[in-house]
Amino acid sequence: MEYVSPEGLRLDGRRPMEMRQIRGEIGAVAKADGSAVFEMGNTKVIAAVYGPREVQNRSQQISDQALVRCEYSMANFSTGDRMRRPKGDRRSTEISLVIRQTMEACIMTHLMPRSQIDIFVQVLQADGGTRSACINAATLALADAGIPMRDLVTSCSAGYLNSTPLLDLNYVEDSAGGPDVTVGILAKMDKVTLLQMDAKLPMDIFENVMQLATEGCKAVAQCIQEVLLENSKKLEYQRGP
Amino acid sequence: MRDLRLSLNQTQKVRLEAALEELQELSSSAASAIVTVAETIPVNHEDGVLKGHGTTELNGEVVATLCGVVERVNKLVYVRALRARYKPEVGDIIVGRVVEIAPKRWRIEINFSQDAILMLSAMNLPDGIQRRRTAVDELNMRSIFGENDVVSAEVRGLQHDGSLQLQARSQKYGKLERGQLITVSPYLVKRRKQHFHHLEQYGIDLVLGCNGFIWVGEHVEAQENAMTEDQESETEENKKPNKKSMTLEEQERTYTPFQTRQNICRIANAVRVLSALGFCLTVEVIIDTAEASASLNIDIKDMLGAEFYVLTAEREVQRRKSIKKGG
Amino acid sequence: MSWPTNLDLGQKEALVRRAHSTVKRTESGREKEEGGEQREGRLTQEGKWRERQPQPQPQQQQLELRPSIPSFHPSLPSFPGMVGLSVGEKHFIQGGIAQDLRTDGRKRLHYRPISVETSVIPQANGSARVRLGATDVIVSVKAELGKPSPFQPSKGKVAIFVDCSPTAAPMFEGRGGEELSAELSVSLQRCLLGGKSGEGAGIDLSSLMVVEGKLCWDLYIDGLVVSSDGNLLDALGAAIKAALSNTGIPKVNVAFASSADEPEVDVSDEEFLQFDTSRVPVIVTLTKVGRHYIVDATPEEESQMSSAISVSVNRLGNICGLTKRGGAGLDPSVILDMVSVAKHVSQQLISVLDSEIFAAESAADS
Repeated sequence: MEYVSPEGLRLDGRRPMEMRQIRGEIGAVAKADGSAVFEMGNTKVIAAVYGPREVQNRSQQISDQALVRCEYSMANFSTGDRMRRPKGDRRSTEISLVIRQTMEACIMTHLMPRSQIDIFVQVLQADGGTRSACINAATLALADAGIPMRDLVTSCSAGYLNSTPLLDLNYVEDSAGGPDVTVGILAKMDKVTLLQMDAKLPMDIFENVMQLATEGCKAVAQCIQEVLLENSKKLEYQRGP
Repeated sequence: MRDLRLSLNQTQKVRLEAALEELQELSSSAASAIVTVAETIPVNHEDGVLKGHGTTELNGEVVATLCGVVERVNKLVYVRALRARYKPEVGDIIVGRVVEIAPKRWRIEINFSQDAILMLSAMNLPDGIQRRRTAVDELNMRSIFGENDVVSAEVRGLQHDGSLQLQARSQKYGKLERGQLITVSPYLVKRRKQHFHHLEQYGIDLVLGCNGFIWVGEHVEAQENAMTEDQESETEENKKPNKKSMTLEEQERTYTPFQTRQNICRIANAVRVLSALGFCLTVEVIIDTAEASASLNIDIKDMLGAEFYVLTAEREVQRRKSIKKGG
Repeated sequence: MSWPTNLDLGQKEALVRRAHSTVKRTESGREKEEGGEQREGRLTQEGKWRERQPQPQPQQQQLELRPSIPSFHPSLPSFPGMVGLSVGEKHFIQGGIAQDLRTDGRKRLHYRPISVETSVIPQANGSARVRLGATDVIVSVKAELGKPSPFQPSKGKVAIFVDCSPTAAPMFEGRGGEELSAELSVSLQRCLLGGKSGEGAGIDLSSLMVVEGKLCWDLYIDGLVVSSDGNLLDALGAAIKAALSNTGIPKVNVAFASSADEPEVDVSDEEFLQFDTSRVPVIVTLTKVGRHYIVDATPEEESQMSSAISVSVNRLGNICGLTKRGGAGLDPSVILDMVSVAKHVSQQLISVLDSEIFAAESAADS
């Protein structure tokens, strides 16, 4: 199947180096300490952060750090083909673990000892790149909750089909059987916190693809910064002197 | 606007946007520097700057770790976060809910990263005598504060492990009953000299906790030294809300009078609308809003509707303009 | 049988193929039990029979005779995750309800403002998002072709599932929300769908028929609770009504092949039939606190309830289902009174909901 036409257009009309439209919004869940909705094309994800609060399970308390917990869940209607997902299946557990490790690296946990931070991510629509959208939404939600972070974590995916590196794969391209590289970076420090790939790829092409994904991450970071700045400005002038 | 999802019609949307724009203009003259996470804070390195809360150092630059406003005090640079959990300071008056009774202390939930601790020794005994707490006192802790009780107290200090200690020695602190508790974001409550307000014209107690818990309730006289007769009558009164010992009719007799209840609900809704709009909560603004709604004959439940929402925004614009002219 | 969890490459390809081609169903694999309970399921393109997981609490279903007779549950758990309330606060709430002035100023029979948004899930046949105060629920309706049950050959099938997302409350993480999800799913099924025979369903199942005895539409209604602030059942009922009015069932052209067993169907991508929702009921939950009933309870008020009745009423004023929750016993005359109050309130709710749905649909169209 042809994923990149001879003119250089992909299935949904994008260019190979073009990302889907991204949109972030803060404040989706009223009761959470911080919440956000993040959309990458048709992929839509809600993240809610509860914390820092008292550790519910005393045995898990860490005396000098905050405990970070994360859960990833997909709605029944999120994929094109409706599927009833049991909670705690392997894919959800793996993605929860990945998100937790990524966010834990950037949260300054030593500032909040003996407390617990819960990050919950719910996928409403899945069209490829759910992992990345979840990490981006979690970053927004954590910033909204006022939890100190070393840097913004952003994530994006890239692949290699029809001898072309493609940025931000959607579901059809993802299921084509080509390699799928997901990269998560700390935007300002320019460090990689998450790197995952499936299928195989020659080393030199891999560098190109990873570089492309990193560029995508930086674009996402810019979008997130704008959203946060806008939101903070609004809160400040509403609050008044 | 995250708490109240209102459907505004076209005119209301236009009015609201106009009001918000005017607010923006009024405050932009104050020129506050807003930063987001991982943004560099412009700092004059020659002065030798002290890095305070919300900042960290990266490659020789001062970088923010929170989204908020940069505040500079002499050589100290720090970031004041907006929406965040409560940040305690010694001497703050807070309102909290008892979650657990532990040996010789109560654990109180106060919207902080951990539960705060109120020691039995930091609390007045019911008989008012200053004495050493005995084992009997420890067993009777539940008669002072039980689980889920709402209490007001003062921050005594932060322990080295990060936990918060409270004290409630004065008569004005203690259990809060017969009213409702409203939760807002802590950054909306400014630190003032007074946090306990007795609104005489309504007969209501209003307690603005610095941690974002706001109590609106029926007015209760602060007890002076509780002598034994008072204690007996107090235990009789304490039996009131105990369902098991009272029939429905007796309970009905002890309900809050209707007029006071209306005032309580009006003030509570004023607090809700102001917090949904993100405006600073001070007693004056709250009373002002409640009076405006009463004078415009707006039904109490309509105070949470779209029209009053927009009206409050417009009134706030007027208020800030007049302050600016006057100040 | 368990649902497929990790999709491997072959299954992903199969899904992609399905998305791009017209569906031709072949029927192989039937339900395992003859007689007894019908196992619901669906066919994948490979022709494998994927079975639906069995309904939770099958015992309750057998107790049901007709939807109009109330079925008494043993005391179900009241909504978990409520903040504890002090004695003084409880007293205040009860006093407010007795004096007809609740904590947010509402009267006893007033709903919070409802806002409806439709077409929030583009890939579903119909979807809606309803906000009731801070309660936020999303419902999506998906239609798939399937075979009708042999007991009701002229009716389609509807299945309702509710999921409580952990974003709503931290205690819903992992398996914490399962009890509540199961309770909500079963209550919704009772209120909107009929009994075992399919009679008396609030949703008209015969409109889902394609070929009698052979082909029908299976509707899968999935609800997701994103944020909860009390009164989940009413919000879900309203969202289901909105989602159904947003649902477009694709037009099906049936070509009869020579063998009568396998009609070929051509599912059109262009034309859609709007589902008829004028008879879909709404659910009104009345919570009894002390001597009075309130509608649309917040979590604090729900913690005070002695018992609650959820009634589903349609536009004609007919009761389509009823559920009683809570451990306190109710006098039968009280129940009848509550049912009549619910009927009265429901007419208002239906008109508010209809205007909101209409506004949402026209906003989506423009």
